[in-house]
Amino acid sequence: MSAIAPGRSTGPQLPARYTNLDSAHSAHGSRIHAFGPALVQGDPLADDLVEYFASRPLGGGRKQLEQALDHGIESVRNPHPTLAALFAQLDHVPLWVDFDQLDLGGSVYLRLGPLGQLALGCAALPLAYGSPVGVVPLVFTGRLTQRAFRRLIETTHFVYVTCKPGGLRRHGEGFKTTVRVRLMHAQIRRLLRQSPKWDMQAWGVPIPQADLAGTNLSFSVVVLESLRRLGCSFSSRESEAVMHLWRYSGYLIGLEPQFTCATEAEALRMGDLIAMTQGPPSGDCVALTQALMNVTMHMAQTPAQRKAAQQWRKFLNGLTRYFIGAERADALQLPKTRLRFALYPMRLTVMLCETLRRTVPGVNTLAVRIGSKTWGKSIEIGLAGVKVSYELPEHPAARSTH
Amino acid sequence: MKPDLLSLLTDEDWRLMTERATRRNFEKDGMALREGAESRSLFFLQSGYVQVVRDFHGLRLTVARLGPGEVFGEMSFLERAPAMASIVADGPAQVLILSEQEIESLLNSVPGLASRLYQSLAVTLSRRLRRSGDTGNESIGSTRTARTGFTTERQLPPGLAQAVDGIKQGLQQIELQLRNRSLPPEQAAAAVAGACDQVCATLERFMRDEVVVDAGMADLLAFRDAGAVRAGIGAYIFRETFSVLMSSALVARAFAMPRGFPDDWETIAAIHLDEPTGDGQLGPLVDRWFLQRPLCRARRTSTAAVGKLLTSLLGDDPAAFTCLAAGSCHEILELLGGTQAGGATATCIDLDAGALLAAAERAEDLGISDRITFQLGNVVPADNGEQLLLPPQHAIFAVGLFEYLGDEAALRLLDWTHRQLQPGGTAIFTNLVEGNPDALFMEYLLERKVHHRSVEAFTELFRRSSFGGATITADASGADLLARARKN
Repeated sequence: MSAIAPGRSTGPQLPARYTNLDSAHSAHGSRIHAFGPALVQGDPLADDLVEYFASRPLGGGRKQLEQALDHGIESVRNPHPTLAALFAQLDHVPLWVDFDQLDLGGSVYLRLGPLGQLALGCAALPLAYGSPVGVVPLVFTGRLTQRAFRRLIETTHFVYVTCKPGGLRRHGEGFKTTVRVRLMHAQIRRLLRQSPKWDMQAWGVPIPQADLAGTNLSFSVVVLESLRRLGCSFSSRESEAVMHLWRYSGYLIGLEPQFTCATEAEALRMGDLIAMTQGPPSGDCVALTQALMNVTMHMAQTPAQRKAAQQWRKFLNGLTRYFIGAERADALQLPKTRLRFALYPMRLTVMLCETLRRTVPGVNTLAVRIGSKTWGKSIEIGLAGVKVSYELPEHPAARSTH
Repeated sequence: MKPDLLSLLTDEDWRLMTERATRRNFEKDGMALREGAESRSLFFLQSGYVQVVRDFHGLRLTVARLGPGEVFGEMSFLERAPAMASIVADGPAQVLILSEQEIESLLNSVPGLASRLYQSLAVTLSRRLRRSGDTGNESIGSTRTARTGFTTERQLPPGLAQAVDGIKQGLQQIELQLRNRSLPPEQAAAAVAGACDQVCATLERFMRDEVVVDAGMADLLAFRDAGAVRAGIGAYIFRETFSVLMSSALVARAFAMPRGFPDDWETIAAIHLDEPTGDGQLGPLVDRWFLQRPLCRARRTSTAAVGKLLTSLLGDDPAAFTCLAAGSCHEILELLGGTQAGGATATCIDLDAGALLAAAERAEDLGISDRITFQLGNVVPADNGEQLLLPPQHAIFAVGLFEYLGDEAALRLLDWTHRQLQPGGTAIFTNLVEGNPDALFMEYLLERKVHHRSVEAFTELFRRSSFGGATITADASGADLLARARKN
């Protein structure tokens, strides 16, 4: 029996999903008590607003939201107190925010082009899908694996608009998308809380602060760490800028200040704490990860394309194993491949390109331009003309890379 | 005894009034005041009960019952108009009668009496008005709302349209075959029943929790709750199947609620009659299907079960039974029309004058009208404490009433029932059970707000009431619960 049981601290009753607390306590000390409340806390500002929107006629809430996003809260006639409160928080720019640093962080992400997308798909998401409770909202839909491709594209789009220059400025596309995703999280929380099948004692609040924090650091430190393993290099200024970008994104998406990370060291500690306390992957985690690995099959039409897609699947499996480590990969039942032999030349090539980028004037700018176009093109192809809807946004609990 | 309703009068006022009043005793059915009489007197009921009775084309309908401490004749007194109803003793009763001349004399001689008396009468009238206006029942008198705007197009679950289209196409095919006379009637009936069962199965399938959550998540920025999504799915199936389902006379009636409330007496009578009818080729077949659904079977089996229970309560002494929300008064007419009833009497209470008049007519035919009081009124005690009065009863029962009452209204009714029963008296009530296979059909296609209750929930309701508990059994249909409680 654990000496440190959920609910043992003086704070709120913690759900059963918060496990392995003895080991976590050895590694993280009293931090486990500080992090516990993150499992039972949603996003009160957004939660209150969706409650109000639910009482409005169909389309009324969305209209008010878009009006406030596009033209400011002052343009909304007699805004409801819940709408005014949310936009008061959104319109307040914390003192620590530096918009130049946000743009730098975004450009670092964009210049990575396909490598960044590989890090998202083969590191950030598989780690997130390893959270047995984090995937429960997806299980609830009964279509766990059917939307894997769509979810990947929408996640990619979310990252892309966040990283575009000025993306998180007040009227930037990233800002608006983040707010929409925040309200989608709140609406998912609301829907799941209304379901008799949602086990509050076992799982806590749906999409709690803990999962928002996990998502946030999967976009920051997990991607940085993974790409370093692939041969990418970042100056300390660049990595700080990436962390800064996602810290502000976390603020906009409703993350409480105590659960945002300003530095990579903080993020790695929090990622490790989340990984230690979330329990081993469930069968649903395995199914979801398998579906993610199969996304290339989605686009294959001809026998030749299907054959190529199968090769891609092997490559993605191998790369994911490389990023998240053999132990986690085995838990997610990712097959072993011989890709590790191909990774050395790939890593060498990336390192050479990175040296060129750092040393030859103009190459970095060119890399940002090409990388940005690659992101845009991938999303365009993936969406195939269908408008981004964020049917079920990702809200994974990420873990740090090993 | 000074009537409670005249509490604004002083003790001296009351002493002066009683000194000048005439005291009269009435036996059962004695007429204290006749409808249309030019009386200007005030009547104070000292003991016993009286019925306020109105004549409807020769049939007597009780519109209220008054008990000790109540006043009557006040409207004729105030308006100087003929009496609107007759006052008939419900048993031995004593009444103080104060004539118009005596009242005038007192008003002229006692300072302040006029304002105290008129204010008291105003309070009396106000309370009666409140009593008649508050139904305490959320289903009664409700209006239908437009069933659009619940969800967006994206929130209709995948497969719903195909499933409903399949049912419609199947029914069209059957209709065509019937027209061509290429399908034997029994096969057609089975096929229609199968298709209608599919409507219920489709409701079940697409109202499942995970389907609703998935549909809600398909368009999160529509900000629709699970309830709205369910309503949207229900509205879609309703619209798509409306034309066929409404060709059944019974389904159409159950949906239309022509009397303004569910399960009106003609609907219940049609269920008991169990003779399918409807429009077009499909109507009678849909009707036949509906009559065999658990809901209709429950109405029939519960009525029979209650009838048996009531018969078992008949003893040597004449029993007094009251049926609440009596509608067609089926159980009482069967019971009192039978050979075992002895001298039993009954009161049937309902909001629907038409239902009571139809039952009164049938009672006349059966020759038992003198043993049944048909009382117009709302059986659910209003939350302001105003309620109907009954002489002590041996049994009070209702079939198909509790499912239309929320817990608080149901509790008030149980407590009121407990007060009206004599010691050892029995309460018998039914409630549609949680898991009733027709629950979704009732909610989304018939637009009924129904409180299905589990055995535990129904038991808990009685436990919280003055009864302190009840014996609950499931009826033969599997859709209804039968509760029996005794006043100790």
